Amino acid sequence: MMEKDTKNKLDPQEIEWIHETLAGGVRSFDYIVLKYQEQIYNLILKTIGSRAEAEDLAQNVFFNAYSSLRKFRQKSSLKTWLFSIAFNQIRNYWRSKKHRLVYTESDMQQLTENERMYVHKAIDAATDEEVRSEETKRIVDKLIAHLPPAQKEIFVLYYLFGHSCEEISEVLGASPANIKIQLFRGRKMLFEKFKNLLK
Amino acid sequence: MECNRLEHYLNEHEGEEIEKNSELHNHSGECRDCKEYRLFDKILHSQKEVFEKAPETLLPTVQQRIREQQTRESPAWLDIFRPLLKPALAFSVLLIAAGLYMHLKNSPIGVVDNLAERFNISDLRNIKTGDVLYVAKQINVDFTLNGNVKLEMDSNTVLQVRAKNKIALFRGQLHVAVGKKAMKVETPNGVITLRQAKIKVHTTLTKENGNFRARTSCYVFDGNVQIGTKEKSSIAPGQEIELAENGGFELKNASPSAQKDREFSINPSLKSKVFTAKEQLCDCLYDIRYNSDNNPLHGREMKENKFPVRIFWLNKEKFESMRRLDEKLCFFIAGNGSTRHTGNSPGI
Repeated sequence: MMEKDTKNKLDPQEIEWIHETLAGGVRSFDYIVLKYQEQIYNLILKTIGSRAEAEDLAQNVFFNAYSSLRKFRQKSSLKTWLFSIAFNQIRNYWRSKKHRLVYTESDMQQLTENERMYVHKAIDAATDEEVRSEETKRIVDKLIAHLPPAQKEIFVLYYLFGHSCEEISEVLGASPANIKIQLFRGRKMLFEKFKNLLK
Repeated sequence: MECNRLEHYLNEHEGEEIEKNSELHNHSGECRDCKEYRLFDKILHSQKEVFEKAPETLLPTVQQRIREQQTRESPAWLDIFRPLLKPALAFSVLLIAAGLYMHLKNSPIGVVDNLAERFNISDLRNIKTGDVLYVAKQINVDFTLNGNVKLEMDSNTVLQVRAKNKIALFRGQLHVAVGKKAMKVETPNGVITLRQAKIKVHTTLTKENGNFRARTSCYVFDGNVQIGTKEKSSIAPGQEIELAENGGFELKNASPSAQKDREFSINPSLKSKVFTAKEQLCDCLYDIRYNSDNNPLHGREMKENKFPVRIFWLNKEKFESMRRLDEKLCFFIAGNGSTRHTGNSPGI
């Protein structure tokens, strides 16, 4: 399970790992990788949707973090810093032309009949446990995958990582108000598409 | 029943976290729209912190890449010098800039536009190290001395012959510097050797009662000065030689005997030009030369209009008045190019 970050406060254990790594201890950096690999991998996976690419980019994130650890000024938490590197990697990925996604209504119609039926059934009687099903997971993935990249980053952090708007603003370098507006617009757009799926 | 609460809420509370508003989803008679939204919201939140396991190959690959980078990197001890790189680079740039500035500053090249005349090196052959030239009018000197030295001057520019036969432009203050090697300057009147000596000549030009007054002091601050064949070690380092208003030189703070031995003359070799009282001290050439054997220096011909420098002149009245002040001074006076008076008993 993910640890809740204390804003701008570094874990003493992490500080020790950082210092040891800077002193030449590669093993200490392994602890950092082990601690954050799942979050970084999932962050990238949920944002770009490809497991192979997510693994490659996650490698890049940790490798870049190791190379730039000397520049880490410890003004934010290590997690926030790693997330920032991850989003830089993701943006570089989007920038390459071949990875630019085109969003069409037909993509949204790729929900399977099972998923559609599940949603119809769940509207009236879905419990929290029922909602946490594989169908839900797939539906969310498909919904988020069709958001524009900027909103997708925010959605992933907000809904999947449970970050607050302030924490997201710190990672992405935008104001909290801007994050809220992006969340609202994305949510509104997704809800419209969600309703269309049910028709 | 028509329910427009959701739409209303979305419009009124743009950017707020809808799920925190209990009123939205708890009102009675919930419509389909609200139910759909509730499910939608629940679905979105249901995925919180549901993560896939990271691939097992992630950590080994990262470790491998780090190892590869470390083998490519420079030794760790080089990191000690890494913070010094930027200051060192900045310092180097500054050093180069300062060097370039000093080089240009000391460069014996001066350029002045609108130059009227050109002279060859033969015209300046009689100028020696330590000579001070006040240029009477705009001239352009283009010659070569031990290499390419191009010199251009305008009026009131002081031309000074420096060590190693370099000629530089100065204004107001002159500086004669001789390096470690003894320097011999051949003149028609013998050889002047400046051995390991540094001579600094100060010249100031002031205007008093409409007349210009030149005051030059020659300051020997290192080594001895050998003039002719005899070494005159009595001109000690730190000895100041002052050029008097009347054109003579005297050694300041020197003993009477030393003072007696030192007789300097105004360069007699230059031909006169039209003299006016007001400009008598304005355009002048001082030839710092020791008259070792009381043999006045004279007779050299300078063709009119070929030498750009007019020498220091005294009119008859002024000369007579000064002569009475110090009979020991050695003068050379030329009037209209024909009358010369030299030696210890000057007269018109």
